[in-house]
Amino acid sequence: MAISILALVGASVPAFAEWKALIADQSVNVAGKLIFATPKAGWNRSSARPSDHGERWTRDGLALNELTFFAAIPDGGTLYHTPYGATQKLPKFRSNMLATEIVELFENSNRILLNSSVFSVGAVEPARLGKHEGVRFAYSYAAQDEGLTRKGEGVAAIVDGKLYLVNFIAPEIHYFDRDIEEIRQLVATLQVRPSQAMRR
Amino acid sequence: MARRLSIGLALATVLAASPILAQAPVATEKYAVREGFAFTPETPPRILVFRPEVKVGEQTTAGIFQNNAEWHAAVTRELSAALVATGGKRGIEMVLHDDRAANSQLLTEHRALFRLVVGTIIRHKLFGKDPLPSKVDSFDWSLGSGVAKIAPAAKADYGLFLLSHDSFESAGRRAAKLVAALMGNGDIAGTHFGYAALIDMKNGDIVWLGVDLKAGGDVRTAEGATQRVEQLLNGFPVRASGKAVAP
Repeated sequence: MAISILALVGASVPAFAEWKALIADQSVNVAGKLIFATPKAGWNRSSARPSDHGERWTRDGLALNELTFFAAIPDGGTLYHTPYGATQKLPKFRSNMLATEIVELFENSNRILLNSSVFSVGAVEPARLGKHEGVRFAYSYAAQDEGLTRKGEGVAAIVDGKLYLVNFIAPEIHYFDRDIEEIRQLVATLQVRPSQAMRR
Repeated sequence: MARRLSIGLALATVLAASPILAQAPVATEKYAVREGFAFTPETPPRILVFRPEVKVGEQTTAGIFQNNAEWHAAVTRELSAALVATGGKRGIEMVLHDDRAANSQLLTEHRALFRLVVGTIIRHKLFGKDPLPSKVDSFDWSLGSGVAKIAPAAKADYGLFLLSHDSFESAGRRAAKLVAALMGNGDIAGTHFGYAALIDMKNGDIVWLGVDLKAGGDVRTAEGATQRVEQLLNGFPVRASGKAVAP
């Protein structure tokens, strides 16, 4: 049981985040207008971004549900900012990657980010990110010191040579199953806007 | 219609140890009650008290925390007894949970989720600097309906989880602090905090949560444990009125 007061109040988290509520059933621009998505009730958007190409949402708190959008990651780009003190370099996206290689990119990036080898990828299958063909992958991992398993599901597609990926993660107990169908619906109906990426 | 969410801020405040913060009283006790929650007035609720989750030990001169097994046993025993006794005084039937009769793996997993959820509530609702806008007018966290499978034989309406973390200073550390004080330097006192929550055993909803980040009472003793429990149960729903109100 690793608990401290600083951890409880979030004071140990260096990236201070400001949260803004999203309006239910109202479409919003995500990740620099590169994705257009329609959330259900209760979601909050964070001002702290996981990378230059990403955006995070949560409903109950990041430890309980985290929905991350990555948009228009270019050839040579990474999913996340390099974590402070990381000894390994984050893997880079290549525009000619196969679907399985994208899943490996995600898995290896998260192993480094979580500093954990206990990361298991499950089913990988074709899926759609909006109207674009892509890949869906399920995974799970046991967070160190927490004593519980988190489940995740990502959907990724390469559009005009750039990577778009939506990832949902939550504790296996209660939180993942409660929201995953809602997330799948959001992913299936979102719009990827590569034309916005061209203007960058 | 006025919302019935109840979030309490205890009057007890402390002055932070740091001279920089010494001018600003910091609230260290808060509680929250789920919107609209009330005990059924007709029948007394049956509350299953899960074994308190205890971390207790000594803070060495170097500031390193060392667990103390003897204290751990004493604190667990005294807090459990204090909870049952306090419930009785409030007209609420509190029964100790028999760990041997439970689905232990399920309980372990839900304890872990409980810590995570409470940490989230503390950070995003009660004390942290990054509140979630969607939660400003609500207190609706849950552990999910899986809690109903933990101890169905107990036939409990609610479950009570409690966590206590106490770090006592070693003799060497106290001496070092005295020296530091004589030299004009401040120091950080031992850490004592805890929280308790009432869970609806049908659906896992957290219906009440009390948090004390600077708790009092030497929980290694019966008297201190009673004091700690009384502090943590600040704002615990009162049955007599049938409404969830602060005492």
